[in-house]
Order: sequence, then structure tokens, then C-alpha cells
Amino acid sequence: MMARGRAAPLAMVPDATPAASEPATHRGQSEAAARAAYDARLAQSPDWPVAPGDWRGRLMRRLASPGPRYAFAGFLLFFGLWYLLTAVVVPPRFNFIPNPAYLFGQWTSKVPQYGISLFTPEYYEHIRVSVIRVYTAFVISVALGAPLGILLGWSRLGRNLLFPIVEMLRPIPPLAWVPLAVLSLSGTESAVIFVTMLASFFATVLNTYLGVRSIPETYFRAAACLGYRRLDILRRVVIPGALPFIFTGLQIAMGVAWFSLVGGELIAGRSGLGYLILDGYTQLALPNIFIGMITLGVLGWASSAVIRKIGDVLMAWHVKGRGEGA
Amino acid sequence: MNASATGFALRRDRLLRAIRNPVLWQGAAGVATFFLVWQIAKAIGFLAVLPSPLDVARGVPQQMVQEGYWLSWVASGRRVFLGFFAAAVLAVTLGIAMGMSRKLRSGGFPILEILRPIPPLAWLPLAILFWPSPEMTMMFLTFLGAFFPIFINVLAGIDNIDARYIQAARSLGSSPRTLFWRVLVPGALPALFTGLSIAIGITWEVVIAAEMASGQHGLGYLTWNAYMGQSLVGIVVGMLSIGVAGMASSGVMSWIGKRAMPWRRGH
Repeated sequence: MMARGRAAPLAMVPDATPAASEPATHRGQSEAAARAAYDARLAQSPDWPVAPGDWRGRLMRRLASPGPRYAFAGFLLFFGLWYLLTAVVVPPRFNFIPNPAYLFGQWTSKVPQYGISLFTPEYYEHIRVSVIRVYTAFVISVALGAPLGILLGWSRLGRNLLFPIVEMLRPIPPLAWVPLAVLSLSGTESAVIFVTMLASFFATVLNTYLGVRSIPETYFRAAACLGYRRLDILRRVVIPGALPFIFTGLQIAMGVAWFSLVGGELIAGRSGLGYLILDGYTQLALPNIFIGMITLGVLGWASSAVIRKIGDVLMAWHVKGRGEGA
Repeated sequence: MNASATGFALRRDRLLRAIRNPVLWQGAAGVATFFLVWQIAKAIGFLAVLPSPLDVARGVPQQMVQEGYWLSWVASGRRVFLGFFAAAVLAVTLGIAMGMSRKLRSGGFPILEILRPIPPLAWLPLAILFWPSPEMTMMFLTFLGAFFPIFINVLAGIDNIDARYIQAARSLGSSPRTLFWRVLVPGALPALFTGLSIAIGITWEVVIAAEMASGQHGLGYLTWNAYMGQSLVGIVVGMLSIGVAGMASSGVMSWIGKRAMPWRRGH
């Protein structure tokens, strides 16, 4: 992204040169007309900005650039290969995999062979259960994790006392907690939510902590000189300073929440998309496995996108350009 | 002899300073309080199913001498590292290729972006059906878990190399090969190691879940087996072993990272 931003002025040069030489060839034209022709020529350049509301122009511009054409070729190759391997020449272990056309037909069918499609209430029931679990776990983990992270980052005593405990528990993967959670919490529902919560809790704590630690010491000193009380420092220095890291943490947290949810539902669930996949396996209803996987992918992606959007709105001042985590 | 005496004094001073360090003491106090609260809660009657820390401490040697305990380490470690290495090789190759060729990137990246949000564990049933042996199933899952974080980070690493470095190298007349080894590789290395350390954590999570759902042997299976046998100490020992294994792997990864990037040692 950054590389393209830097390359833009270079790319404009070849477009600009012929237009600039144009007035010389049409000496009779007025200067205004030459300038208009030059502007029109520049507007053709792929680097010329499109008006913010001009959706059609933006779409045409994107389709005209070589990127989408290669992307389309890539998709064609991917689905073509999939179709070829599952419908035309079927190698030994591919025989049970449904071909993409059949899969799409089942997904959008009113009377699906295995009871799950866009038109069956069961499908939405599984989605509802999984979404509620993920968001409950996410809200709990942020509500607990962000304050703990701030405490760890801000108070030296808090850090010295609590950080070793966090570091001791963090390496244990959330899914290793499944047996203990199932035994010690009543019902599978709270066990699955607990397991889903764990990973996002640690991601939130760690990133909030790093965020608070990243705030320059001088900001605290300036705040102290200006006579800020502790609460003011928290509101004006600590939280805004840590916000970029917190949002990175929230994105990671959302990703790992979906990840752990699937694990929890596979091992201990009775409903939800993870269970739909497992059920598809035990009933040998292959389309359901694929529908579950694709739905999980879409929901996980959409959840992260929402968080990124909220972060962009909240941190208008923050320059983007952070790498991505898990 | 004099030199060794001062060396000894130096080491003793360092040790003494470490012992007097309040950070160490407060940390120890925190961890001790954690276990104390756990033990007291157990004694009062909370946490009815959880074993007390003392039970766990007594159970550790007992579990360790059990047949198959160390074999589980080997089994899980093998699955993790084989999947991880396969993922690392493929992800680095693809990441570099897509980082350097715009055509390849526009063609291949969107498909990978569509596959990426699908959680690795969601592939489990399909993988069980597809691969002929459970061993290959689990390696495929660890491969999937490790592939995307490494790939994304290699790509981001190459993207974030300062364009002026590449221009400088070009104007100094470096061949594509030199450009690759002297600019791109060192520039992308920090991001690669970020990706590797994220990936090794994910592979351990994936392997644990896969072993619980479908495994034979392995630390996840050990924990699941303890659950089936209602051995709570066994469950906790299993969890601790998994934690230690994951921590050791991350430690190895960051050690290699430090060796590979000597110029970043100060960071």
C-alpha cells in the first residue's frame, strides 16, 4: 500500500509529458483550451482521484485497472480446477467432495438435500447461536481485559504483581481448557463461551498493556505539570495513547474468538456453525460442511471489518500502516 | 587467577542484585498469592471439581512416569513442527513471489484472502475425510494454522521495505540477486519472525483441538483421556504440559530470530 503511494508521482510523469507538449503543436488555440485539454488528459490517468460520490466512475476505474482482471483469472482458475477435479476427472480421494456448481445449487435451493440452505430456518438458528456466543465472549473479554491491561501498563506495582500470573496462564491454549471448563461450569453453553473468551481476553490484555507502555513518558510528565488528576490522565493520556494498540488487540481478539469458538463447538457443542460442520461429517452431508465453513469465513471476516471500521472512526488522527496479527 | 576472582565477584554481584530486585519479589508474591487463593478456595469448598495446587504438584511426577507421557510430547511436537515447516516453506515462497510480482499478487491474493478467515479447525472434518491417515490430517491442520500468519507477515514485510532502499541499491548497480539477498531478505526478516512466532502459537492450539477431536497419542489426547477417565489432576497436568511445550517453542523461535537478526539485538 505504501509502495503504491510512493510510486504514484512517478507513474504520472509519462502521462503528463505528451499533454504538456500539446500547446506547442496547436499554437492557434487559446491557453484556456490547452489547459482544459491538459486537464482532460490528466483525468484519464489511473492516478487521478475520482470524486468521492462518483461510485460508477470508481467502479469503472477499478475494472479498467489490471488488478481485477488478474483476480478474475485467479478465481476462474481456482473454481475451474475445483470443478475439474470433482466433476470431470475425479482422482481417488476427491470423489466425495461436492463440485462448486452443485454446492451453490444446494446453498440456494429451497428444498436442500441435507436440510441446510439459505431458505431453511435451521441455518439461521446455527448462525444466531454462534454469533451470540462469539459476541458475548468478546464483550466479556474486552470488559475484563482492557482494564487489566491498563492496570498492568500504568501501575508498576500492578505490573510486578500480576504480569507473571498472566504470563503463566497465557501459554495454555484456550482449547486445552475445554475439559476443565466442561467439568467445572454448568452446561455446555457457558463452557463454550468461556473457551471462546479466553483467547480474546489474553489478546486484549496484552495489546492494551503494550499500548499503555508505548505512550512516551514525557506525556505523563506534561500532564503532571499541567496539574492533571489521575482520572484526567486516564481519560486524556492513557486511553487515547493506547487506543491504536487496543484496536489491533480487538481485531486479533475477534479473530481468535471465532477460531476458539469452532474448536469449542466441535469438541463440546450441541449447536452452532462448528457443530453444523461436525454434524455434516457424522451424517456425511458434505454440502453442510462447506456451507458451515464458508459461513464461518464470511462472519469472521465481517466481524473484523466492523472493528476496523469503528477503529478508523475513533482514531481519525492515527496514521494507518500497522501490520496484521493472527 | 586474579581475573577469575574478579569474574566471580562480578557474577556474585549480579546474582545479589537480581535477588534484591523488587520486581522479582513482587512477581513471586503475585504468583504465590494466586496459588494460595486457589488452595484456600479449594479448602473452603469453592471450585469443587478443580484439584488443589498441592494435589497437582503431587500428581506431576506420578503422571510423568506414566507410560506414554513423553511419547505424547514427541507425537504432538512432530505434528506441530512438520506442519509448521511445510507452511513456513510454502508461505515464504508464495509471500516473496507475490511481494515481488504484481501480476501474481493480483491473481492469487484475493483467493487466499477468501480462504484466510475460515478458522483452521473448521477444516477438520473435511481433512479427516480427505487425508488417508489421522497423522496427515493433523499435519494438514497445523499447516493451515501456520500458513496464513506467516504468509501475511512476509507480504507485509516486503511491502514495508522503504522504497528508497530498493532505489538506492538499483542506482548503485546491484544485480537482482544482490537486491534480493541484501535488501529484500534482511528487510522482510523482522516481519517474517513476527509471523513465525504467531504461527507457532496457533499450531499448538490447532494440534491440541485436533487431537482432542480425533487423535491418538499427543498432549491434547492425553488431556482428553484424563477427562474421559475423570482424572482432574491428569487434566491439569496435561494443560500445564501443553503450556510448557508452547512456551518452549516460542522461546526457540525468538532465539533463532535473535541469531538471524544480529542488528536488532538492541531492540
